[in-house]
Amino acid sequence: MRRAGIIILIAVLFFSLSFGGEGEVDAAMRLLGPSSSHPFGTDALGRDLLERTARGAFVSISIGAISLLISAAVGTVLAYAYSLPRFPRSALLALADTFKAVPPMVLALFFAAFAGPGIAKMAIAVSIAHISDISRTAHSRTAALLNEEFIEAERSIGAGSARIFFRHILPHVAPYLALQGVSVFLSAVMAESTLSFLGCGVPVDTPSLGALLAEARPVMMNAPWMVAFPAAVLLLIGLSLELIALSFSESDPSAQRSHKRKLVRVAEVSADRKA
Amino acid sequence: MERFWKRLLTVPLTMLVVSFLVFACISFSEGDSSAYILPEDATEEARAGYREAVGLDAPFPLRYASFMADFLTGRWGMTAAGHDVSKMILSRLPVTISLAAMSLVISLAIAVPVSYLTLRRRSIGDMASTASAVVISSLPVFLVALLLSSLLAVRLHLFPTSGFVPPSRGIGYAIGSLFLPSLSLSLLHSSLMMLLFRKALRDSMEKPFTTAALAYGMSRRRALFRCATRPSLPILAAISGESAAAFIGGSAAVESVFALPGIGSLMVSAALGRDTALAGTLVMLIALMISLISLLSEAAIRLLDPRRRS
Repeated sequence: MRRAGIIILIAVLFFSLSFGGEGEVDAAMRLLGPSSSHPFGTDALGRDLLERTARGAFVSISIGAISLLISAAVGTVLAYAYSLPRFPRSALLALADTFKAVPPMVLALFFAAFAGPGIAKMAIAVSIAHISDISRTAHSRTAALLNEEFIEAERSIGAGSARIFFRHILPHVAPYLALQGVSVFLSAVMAESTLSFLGCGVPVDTPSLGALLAEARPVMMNAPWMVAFPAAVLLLIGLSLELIALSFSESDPSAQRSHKRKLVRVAEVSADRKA
Repeated sequence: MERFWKRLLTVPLTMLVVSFLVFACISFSEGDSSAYILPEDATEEARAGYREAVGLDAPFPLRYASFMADFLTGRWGMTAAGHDVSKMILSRLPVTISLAAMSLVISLAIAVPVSYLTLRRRSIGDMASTASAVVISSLPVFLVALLLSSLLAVRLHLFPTSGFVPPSRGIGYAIGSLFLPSLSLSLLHSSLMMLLFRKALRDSMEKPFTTAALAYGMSRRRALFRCATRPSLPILAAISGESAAAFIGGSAAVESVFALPGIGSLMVSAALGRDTALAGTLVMLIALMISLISLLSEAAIRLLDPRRRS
């Protein structure tokens, strides 16, 4: 199942990179259905929908990637903090857990109210909203490792916390943080498409899948292809990420092959991911 | 019991952290009320005098304290257009709460029966329900709402396309106007609920106590209800709590698609209008509601799972 997810994601990425473009405004060709010259049809301004959809897919995926990187960086810093010997861990855990009370969408809307629309703000908002999950993952993996005897041996020969972290803890924790990042990726793609649909996401006229759907809304009944294609691409992106994330969690339907999975019981399928 | 008090303490802590973040954003955003209260040609001295009179030049901790005091006593100020914020929010709150409640009911109503019906692994029901669960949860909420509204409301005229009908005008119409929005929210969460609850049921069916009951001659169906259900209920309570919290958060998209006058759409208009204070008040309110909901759900888990009672 995981392989299917990865393949779909790479396919979508390939599609977006090869066909992406702004699309030329051509008033004579407004709202045409799918044809040989315009495989996805045209939009209300006559722009080729294939190009815009592909560019929109790229925008959505890149926002997800930015959020993944931010969350991985935050997770690394937190894991380092948790590996320090005299660190107030429970205090930091409690602090991170307080952010669980704010759903990603609400926080992203607040950032949009405060600082205007923007890609970076959305990515930061989504990462902050997930900081509780990230910190829990970092803490549990680091704590599990710190009890091992080889860590104690390292400390007894005088290794500092930095060396222990970079040589031992980080290589172990990194896959779990990456997996957590996939969850954040999905949440970011969903949040971005919702925000762009509402008008407070990407800057005006930048094609993103949500913005394309917002454009399609007034002409939905007359031009269903304008909804169908961006929706299909969004579905594929979400599906691939969902498959990847689910394949590591407890509710994997294909649980027969669990002996092949090395990372078990890592990702909890979280309900507030999609706000 | 000591853990209970510790857990209760997280609510004020959450409010402190969230309100600090919100207030920091508000006070660091450009411009203050002097820009729209005083006339445009007011001198700098007049602005300084105004700030001193209103208290805007006080040091940060004092302003934060008065901000918190105002929030807790319900003095949420006015929007730039002069509307009373607390009246606006309080009138919209019931809409969102009924939306969330109805979504929870629909989610449970879908998830629980499907879990019981598709218990057998690798059956057609199992594969179909799992496949549709995965597909539906890959779509963002607003897209599900759009599709449902275009299919059921516009094409088939089964439900109203937009607007909220208050119960005073007929409870049937009220439920009808909320049904499609709740369905959009609940489809996503019912998939998750179904997957987790069904897995819990399957695991419980394989536990030793169920095997013992079956060995004593209990039928499989009766064992399902008598032995396997009770241990699976805490998981349902846990995910119900998370879903309820997510419904409040996800109401923004759904309320915008269906033009419901709730907290979510208020948040969206605050974001579009760059109204930081209104958005901040809403964030704090939502955080308060969600922390109370998660407290309730943890209490429910405690009640349902005897192993956790200390």
